Amino acid sequence: MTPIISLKDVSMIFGRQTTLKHLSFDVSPGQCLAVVGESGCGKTVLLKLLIRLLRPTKGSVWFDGVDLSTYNALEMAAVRRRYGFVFQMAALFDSMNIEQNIAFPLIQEGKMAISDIRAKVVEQIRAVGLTENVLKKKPAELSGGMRKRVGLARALMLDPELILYDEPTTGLDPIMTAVINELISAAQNDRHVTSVVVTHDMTTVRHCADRVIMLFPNALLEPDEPQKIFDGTPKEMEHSDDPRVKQFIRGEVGERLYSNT
Amino acid sequence: MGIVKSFCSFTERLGGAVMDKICRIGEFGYFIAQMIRWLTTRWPCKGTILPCFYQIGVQSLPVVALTGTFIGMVLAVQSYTQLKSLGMETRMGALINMSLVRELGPVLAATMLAGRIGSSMAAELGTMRVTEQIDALTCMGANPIHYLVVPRFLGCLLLIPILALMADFMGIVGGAFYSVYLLGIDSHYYISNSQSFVGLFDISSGIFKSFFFGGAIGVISCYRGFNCRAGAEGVGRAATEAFVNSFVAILLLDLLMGIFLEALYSLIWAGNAKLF
Repeated sequence: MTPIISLKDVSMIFGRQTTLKHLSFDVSPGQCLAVVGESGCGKTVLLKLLIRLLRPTKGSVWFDGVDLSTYNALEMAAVRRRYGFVFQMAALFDSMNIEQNIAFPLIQEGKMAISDIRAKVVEQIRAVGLTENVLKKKPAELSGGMRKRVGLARALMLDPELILYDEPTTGLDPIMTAVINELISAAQNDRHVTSVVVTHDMTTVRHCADRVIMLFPNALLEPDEPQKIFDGTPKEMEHSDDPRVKQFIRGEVGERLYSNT
Repeated sequence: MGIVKSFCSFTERLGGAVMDKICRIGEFGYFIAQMIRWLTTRWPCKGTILPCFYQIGVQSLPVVALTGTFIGMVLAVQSYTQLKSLGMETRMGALINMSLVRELGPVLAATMLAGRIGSSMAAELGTMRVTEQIDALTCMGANPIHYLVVPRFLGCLLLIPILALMADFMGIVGGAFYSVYLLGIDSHYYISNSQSFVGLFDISSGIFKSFFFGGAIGVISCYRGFNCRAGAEGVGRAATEAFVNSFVAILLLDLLMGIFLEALYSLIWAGNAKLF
């Protein structure tokens, strides 16, 4: 089966700083991949590479068997409609109300009648556990958890094949974290989408992911060491012998308190 | 050895700074090229254009009208003593109106709008950049230049000349009010002198300049907002740079347009004094 996402020897360099180094992996259709690692190891950069918000310095990113760098801007816009992206802070448009925010991808696509779009907005807002009462509110009037749920509803509007989540549970209380985790799993199981979840949260990994990749900050690696220090199931990760993986899972300080990274 | 090392370091830093500037000029050029491409291929829909036009045009009317009125009155205050000493106070209308329509109206209205609209657009787009709203637009298959920049640029390009015309009108009214009702100048001579000195070329040259001012404010402010650095400091800096750069562009364009229009005037009405 053709992987839906393929990273081939990808490196990302900003000025003199190498954020990602010779990274390669595939994601199969229907898989939920969690990407974990310390802050600054390049997780969000990786996510932006997957949708070509950034272009890799070296290597290539493939979606559904095609190298993303071969698309021109218009073709890439069409390809992006096959993605959903849930941003860390939801990235809802401040000037629009919730209904306009959720409807935006379909209005932009311009293929559906307004009445059908309205019906789909209501369907999506219910699917993420909110009521129609929020539709006329502005994003600033909602709590962080509600904003993230609206962000998820917006990402689901175009029935994407692949959803990218950027730290979906960061800054939320444990109950809202559980709600978001449940919604990620529901999107995965009910819609059979592929998901890539960038997170620090091991609860999210255990609940949603069927595969985990752990990245390590490039600055802390030896020159010939790979940046991907773990690739396996969440259960295998719990039993990993690698001290760096153990330290991450247990949240231990180790020698990091007085280091510069 | 130390001198050679410090010279190399200096050369490296100088080269880096020059390369950085060249890259920024290239980025700005690419930004303009993308905007022109969208302008010539697909115009934004009514729903995105109208809110921008409302914000730029309608909401700026009071501040532009106020600016114009006060410029007219201040010109009357400043010129009265000088012209009265020459016995030419009835010519004040010509002086005030000519200064307004050719220079002060368009330039001061544009400066005012660079502060009001330019900074606001840069701050708005900058906030959208740092809160990933621009990335979200891209992810949903929308082009941010087409969706965000083109309507704002069109708003500035088309509405700032109209606002400059409004500033001219209010300045003329303000100057006339102060001269006739407060300084007691005969309204008949004031109006007849104004009419005989200010021609269509003077009014249209001011409006012609305003198109360039509007375009410059639009493109510079959007570029600054679009390339905003992270955080609140980045947004603040983008807003400030948008105003400062727009202001410098207005002054530079005013000089260039002034030279061009004088040359055109001399060409059309041959026999007048030439600047070059």
